[in-house]
Amino acid sequence: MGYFGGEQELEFEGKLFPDKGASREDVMKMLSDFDAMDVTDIYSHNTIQSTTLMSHLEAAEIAKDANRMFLRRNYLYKELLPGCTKMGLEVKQMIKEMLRFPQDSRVRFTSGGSESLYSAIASAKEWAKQEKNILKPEIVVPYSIHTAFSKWCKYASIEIKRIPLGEDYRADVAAMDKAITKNTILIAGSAPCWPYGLFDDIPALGALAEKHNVWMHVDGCLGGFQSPFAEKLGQNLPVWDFRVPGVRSISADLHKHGYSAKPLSSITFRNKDWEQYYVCSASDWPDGLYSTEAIAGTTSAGPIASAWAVMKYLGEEGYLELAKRSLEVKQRYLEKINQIDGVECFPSDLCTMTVRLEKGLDLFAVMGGLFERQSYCLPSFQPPALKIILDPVTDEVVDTFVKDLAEVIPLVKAGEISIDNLKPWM
Amino acid sequence: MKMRLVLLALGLKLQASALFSKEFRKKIRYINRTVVISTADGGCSHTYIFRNNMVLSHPGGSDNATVELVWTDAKTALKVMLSDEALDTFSAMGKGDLVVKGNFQDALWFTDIVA
Repeated sequence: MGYFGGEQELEFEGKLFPDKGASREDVMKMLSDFDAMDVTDIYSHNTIQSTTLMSHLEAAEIAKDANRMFLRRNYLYKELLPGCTKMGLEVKQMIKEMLRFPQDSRVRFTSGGSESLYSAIASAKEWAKQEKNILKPEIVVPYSIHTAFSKWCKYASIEIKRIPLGEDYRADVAAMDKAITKNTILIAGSAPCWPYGLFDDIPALGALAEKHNVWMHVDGCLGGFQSPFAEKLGQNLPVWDFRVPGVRSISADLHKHGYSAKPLSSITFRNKDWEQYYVCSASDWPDGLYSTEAIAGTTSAGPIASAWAVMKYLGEEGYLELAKRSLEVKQRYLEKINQIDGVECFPSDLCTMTVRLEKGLDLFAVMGGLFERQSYCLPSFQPPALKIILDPVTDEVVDTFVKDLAEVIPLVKAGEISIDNLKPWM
Repeated sequence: MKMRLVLLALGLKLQASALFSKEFRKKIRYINRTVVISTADGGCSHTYIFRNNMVLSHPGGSDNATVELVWTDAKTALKVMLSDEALDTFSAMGKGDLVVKGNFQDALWFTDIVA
């Protein structure tokens, strides 16, 4: 099982770990071979969808250089690294300014969206235990919320209730209201959700959280660093941040539309009052205090440096320009894809969009045909659809994908392309 | 009616395998999951429970399902379930004839053990 089930199992001949080390040149040559096997350069292939969120070449180079400069600094010991400490605090301040967070909000770096979501649940769990004596916690979320919620609930033995969406594919707030019990510790909404690129009604969910006195988390991992700029460009988006009274924490990935090196995300608490439930400074071992930024311990300062560099390099003007380009890309996809017989774009708010298939068309067959043309995209199953990531790419990238899709659909209909074409990636 | 019989027969086959096949018991060792197969109209459903190296099954759904395989209709379900082509189940998902609710890995595991 490959694309749909994790790592492929390979059989190796002989021993891989060498008795003697190789030269630096040889090692780099071998790494180049791996690099050539991947499809990572959006500008040379022109057809990649969904697999990269970096599409500004200069910013990418700056992020890479900054990452490399600070790669070996351990942000765990930031107190011993005054440069890293200052840089990290400056990034946190810039996050507050970019995302219009209150000055007394508390930002923490995490390794990615998943860790940010785990952090929100962990905080809610601790709060509910201390303040409400809830020992059998459960959370109530819309069906479209990121599956990392389910993952952490499994690890932490928390019951998760995924509530079916409304007809508009957004959170069904009334149904979530009914699902809340005395053991509910957290509710959440997406801004926007990964499957459909749609914002949940965060103000309504915030009011619900206040009514039941439960923790409210907004998952802005995907759109957090694009929404404020899209709004400034006149895009009509629902209010999704701390302007909504009931919201206690928000996650936003810097390595998506913040354009930093991976892995870097953030979780921000409304203020210290809520952050205190996350702080975990352990000292029950021989070496005394162990206080970490987030759940992980050792963390490279490289991605934080890359975030600092890209934020300074792009500035508000640069982020606005990239957000504008993403909106243009969305429009171009919408217009061109809707001309293809057998598929239809499902309108989204921001960041992702799904291309739904006519009844009877096999999604896997379509993907097979696209993959063979090096047009990579991700699937969505309810309903069967291709997912497009609305990155600020060139017209050429959009047009190449659309051309391939227009070529593949009739071939799938004619039975000349089937799920067998996808086998090399399964 | 035919689908109900097939689902019942599948339950008996899994139970027999758990009793008599060492190979099968290896596959369900340490497994604690509940799989439900149903049709979207609610006309037909069957539950398969894997626990303590045993398989239990009964008609109807379950509130404790770790994964539910929901078919658009019984006719399509039978056609795919009785097919020898391993990829037909994927194709059914790709066409929207089968919706997997819950743990996708559990669904893959289940389709593997019933193959």
